[in-house]
Amino acid sequence: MVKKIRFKRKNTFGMLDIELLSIISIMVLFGLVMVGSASSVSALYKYGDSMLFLRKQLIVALAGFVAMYLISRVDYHKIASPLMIMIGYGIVWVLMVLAAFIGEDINGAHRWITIGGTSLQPSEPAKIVLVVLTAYVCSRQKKEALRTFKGGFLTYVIILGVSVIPLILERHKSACIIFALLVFSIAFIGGANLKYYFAAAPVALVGLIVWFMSDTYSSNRIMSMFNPFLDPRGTGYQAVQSLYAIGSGGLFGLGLGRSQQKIMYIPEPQNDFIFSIICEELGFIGAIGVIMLFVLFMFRCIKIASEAPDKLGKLIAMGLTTLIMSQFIINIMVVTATGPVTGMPLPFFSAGGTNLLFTLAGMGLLLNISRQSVKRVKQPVKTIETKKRYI
Amino acid sequence: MARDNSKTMMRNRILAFALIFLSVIVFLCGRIFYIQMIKGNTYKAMALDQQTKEKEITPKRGTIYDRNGKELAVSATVDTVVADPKIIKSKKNAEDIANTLSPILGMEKADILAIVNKESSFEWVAKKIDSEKSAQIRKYISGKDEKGNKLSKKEMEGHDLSGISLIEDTKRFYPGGSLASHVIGFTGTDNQGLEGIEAIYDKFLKGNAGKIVTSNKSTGSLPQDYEKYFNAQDGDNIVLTIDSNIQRFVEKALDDAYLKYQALGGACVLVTNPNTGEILAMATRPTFDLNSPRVLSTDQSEPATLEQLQERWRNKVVVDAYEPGSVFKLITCSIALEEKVTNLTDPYFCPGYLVVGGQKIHCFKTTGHGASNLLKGTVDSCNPVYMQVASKIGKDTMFKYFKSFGFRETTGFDLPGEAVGSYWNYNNYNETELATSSFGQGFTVTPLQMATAVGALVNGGYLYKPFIVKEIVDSEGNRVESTTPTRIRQVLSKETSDTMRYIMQTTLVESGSLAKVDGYEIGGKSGTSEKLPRGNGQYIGSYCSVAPINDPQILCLVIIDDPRGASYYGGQTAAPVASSIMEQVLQYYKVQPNGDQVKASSDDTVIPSVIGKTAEDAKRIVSSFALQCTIYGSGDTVISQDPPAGTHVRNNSYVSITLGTSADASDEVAVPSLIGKSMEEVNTIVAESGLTLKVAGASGGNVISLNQNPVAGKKVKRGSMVTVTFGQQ
Repeated sequence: MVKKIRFKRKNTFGMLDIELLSIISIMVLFGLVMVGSASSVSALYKYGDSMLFLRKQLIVALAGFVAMYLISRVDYHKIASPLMIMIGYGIVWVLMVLAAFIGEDINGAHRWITIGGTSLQPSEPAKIVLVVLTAYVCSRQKKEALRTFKGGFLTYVIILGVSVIPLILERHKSACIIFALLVFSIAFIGGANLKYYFAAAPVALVGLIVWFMSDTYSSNRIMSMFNPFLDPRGTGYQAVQSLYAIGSGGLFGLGLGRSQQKIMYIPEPQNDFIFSIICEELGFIGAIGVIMLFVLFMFRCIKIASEAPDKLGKLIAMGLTTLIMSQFIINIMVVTATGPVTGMPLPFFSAGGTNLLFTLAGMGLLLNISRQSVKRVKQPVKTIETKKRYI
Repeated sequence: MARDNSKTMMRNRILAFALIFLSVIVFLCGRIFYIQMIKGNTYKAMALDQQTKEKEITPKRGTIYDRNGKELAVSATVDTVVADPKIIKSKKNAEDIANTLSPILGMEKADILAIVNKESSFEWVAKKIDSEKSAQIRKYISGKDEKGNKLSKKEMEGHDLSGISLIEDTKRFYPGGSLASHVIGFTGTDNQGLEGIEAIYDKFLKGNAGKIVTSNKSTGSLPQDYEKYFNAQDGDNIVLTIDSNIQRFVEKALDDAYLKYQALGGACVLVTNPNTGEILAMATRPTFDLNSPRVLSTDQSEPATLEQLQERWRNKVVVDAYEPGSVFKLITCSIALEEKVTNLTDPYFCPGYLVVGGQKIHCFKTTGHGASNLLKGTVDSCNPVYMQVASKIGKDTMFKYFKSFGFRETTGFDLPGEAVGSYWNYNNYNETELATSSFGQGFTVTPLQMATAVGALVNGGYLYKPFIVKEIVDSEGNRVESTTPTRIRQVLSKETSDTMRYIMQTTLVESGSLAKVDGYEIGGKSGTSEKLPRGNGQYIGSYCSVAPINDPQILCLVIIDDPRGASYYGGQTAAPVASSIMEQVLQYYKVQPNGDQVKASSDDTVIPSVIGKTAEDAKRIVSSFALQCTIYGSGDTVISQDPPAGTHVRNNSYVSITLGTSADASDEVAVPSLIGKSMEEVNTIVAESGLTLKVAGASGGNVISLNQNPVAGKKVKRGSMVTVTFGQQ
């Protein structure tokens, strides 16, 4: 990394990306309504308070929006500085390792650590840090270096390898997959030589299958993916209940709040299976609505990436897009019994504090990149409108 | 340029990235569409199934009545014991249940324990228990005895039946036992019809179950609780055309015959109304008790096999085809008359056999019947006559009629498993087959088909579709369906039908058949066929009779399959059964007897003819008709009687018989002189001379005869009337 560093410092940012903010806000609000609906019955039954999860989610959402706004005010070049990255990466890595040893045990996986009475999943902030780290590394590499085995392949395998060590200890496979997708998609967009990846793909695939199959808990879930009705009361239970919920919805759904499957059939319906409840209550129309929101989001992100001032911005933007979209797609695959059941939240919608909080924080980064976009900054800024526009 | 190149690559890769994600999203949209729009209803039903608990309200199964409204099959409410193993948590609870229920229900403790320890929320323990047992169980469930007094803690100790409940169920009872068992059929443990009317009309009888749907609240009280109630719709009632009185006559007569002839192949009887096709009675032997259809005999040690049971449940009338034998001659005869290929008096000759197609076919009377005609051939049941008639009818016409009489198709009858007999196909139906088919050999028909065809012979020529369900009435008494007689087609002209009745009557009378019923004019024909494979000495005897012959109301077909008694001929085995049934049915129908021979069983009797008999015979005959007699004159032969033969009189009435010499009986008599005599003297003289007196003029104590007509000395026929005028001197 001896190449000269060219910081494009700007003291004035462009205006906030209202389109992206709108899409995010609609999704979070929609999510709040659905969390309220999905959780009301089980919250009442388990905790005697039907609004419990709604309130929690509301608090996290507010905190998330504050974090998002604050981060959007910070130049992403400052965040993506070697020092910040080293500190951030160090912290989340240690926290993930800690979670593996002292974390709460849920189904044999240790993913949560409790800090000050609040549970935290360190892998969530780790995803953001990993995006920034990979994007930074890639943006520092020369084009020629990216074509080599060492620079364009080995570098990323090492980044991924180091990052997933704590996840393997945690037995957190879904996060491993997300990590891999993040690292490789940034490398892909950054211009890495694809031939090494294609060559490695079969090896990785076989390794992945062996790893999943070596664990009965996971392999059962994969088997039940092909036909969850083989064991509807065991490993196929969640998939079957989810299919019941989605199928019950039909075209227009049973109506908001009228889900039957949320009543003790789908466990924690406000979390990973919130999409099933949306399908049940709002039908095919509602499901397509949610999907359209994510598609719009993706297009908006790609636009931001295209208009980003430099390669670092583009790669961070695309990394964050990958983060949201891959979680979204895997979540839909899980709830429609198209993929193995794995703990994967629906970004912006699912209850579960850490994910929403860090997703929104990540969006702050995206908004900052958007603020520095070529177009926006080029626009003449009228002093009278400044206050309005800068929020 | 390098930079631009790098930027282009990045843009392309972002585009590729977006395309990959979009295609996955499109695929997932398709997946969601499939789940919601295509499989939606399936999943919804499955979801509803787990979300709700349904308690079924059993509908009452419809009653089966005979045509007079007598109950043949009824449903009664009984209790069934069920368990909810989810509620039964403690080991003691489970053991209490096993200890308490085991002696009451007669089940093994281990079996009960296995049921209550299952992972489910609903299990059957015992179905349809009797009221005594259910009362004992109810006592422990409610904690109260029959009078409603609470049981003490001590009495309840060890009888914790939590999780056990009684639910209402219905059980089928058949008041008639084995009466019309093959017709009515029976139900299984779930009240589903298994045989007969119970099976065929199950969809009417079973009704629609009602239900109470509640949200599944095993997890506590939830805001989505709801309850819906759907009324049960009781089953429809079925009214049969069967008359249980006639059915009883038939069952009794058939029981006797089955015992007497030891029919190895079974026996069956069908009684129909030939004018409508209604089945009045239908019975098969061996039979079974509808209330325990799986028990073949009371002393059986092992449960009967399914084959044995199905054999026992066979309704021979409908499902078993047989060779009709000589009864079929009636059909051949009607074809010949209808087609006018011969008439009753055309001369035929029976040498005891006939060579047809190079094969010598014998008459049962191997010495031959000699000179004959169609009527005599029918009375004698002469095969050569019929073979000659058949060759005149010809193959094509026989074939045509075989079809139009309905032998080639099912009758469309409403009992299960109706068979069609086997018959040659046209190309194999040659000279020999034509000859043997004329007397009912070489092909098979079902008793139902045979009775339907004979019905057409006597009812004016119409083939009626047989039916056994008169009407279907719903639980509120509204008529759902009602069967009207269906005329399938006209097979014969009315003239031919009239002639056939005459032939049947003549056949029954002239052949001196055991099927006769004294005092009634009935017609009939017997049949005997050797069972296949021939030469094993196995025969089927049958008899078909119709009464009253001039206005047929009853048709009775009796079949005795493989009798082992003294005789296997239909005229010897089946005919007496037909006679016994006919006699009872005619009396039950209050048909007036009017035949030549009167029996002493009814209040009214008909005076027999005794003229020409010896005095001893005359006395015997008169007394056998429950009449007294006064005898006048002397001689060895009855020369006159008063009242004359055929007069209806009360039982124990007097009949005056005048005796004379056998010469007198044949000669003319001279009118005696009757003038100047008292009335008493005239009366005696007239009676003694074999004449009949008609009194004219005055009457009183001291009148004398003044005039007579014809005059004295005139020769008149015996029994003629002499008018004598009396007056004061």
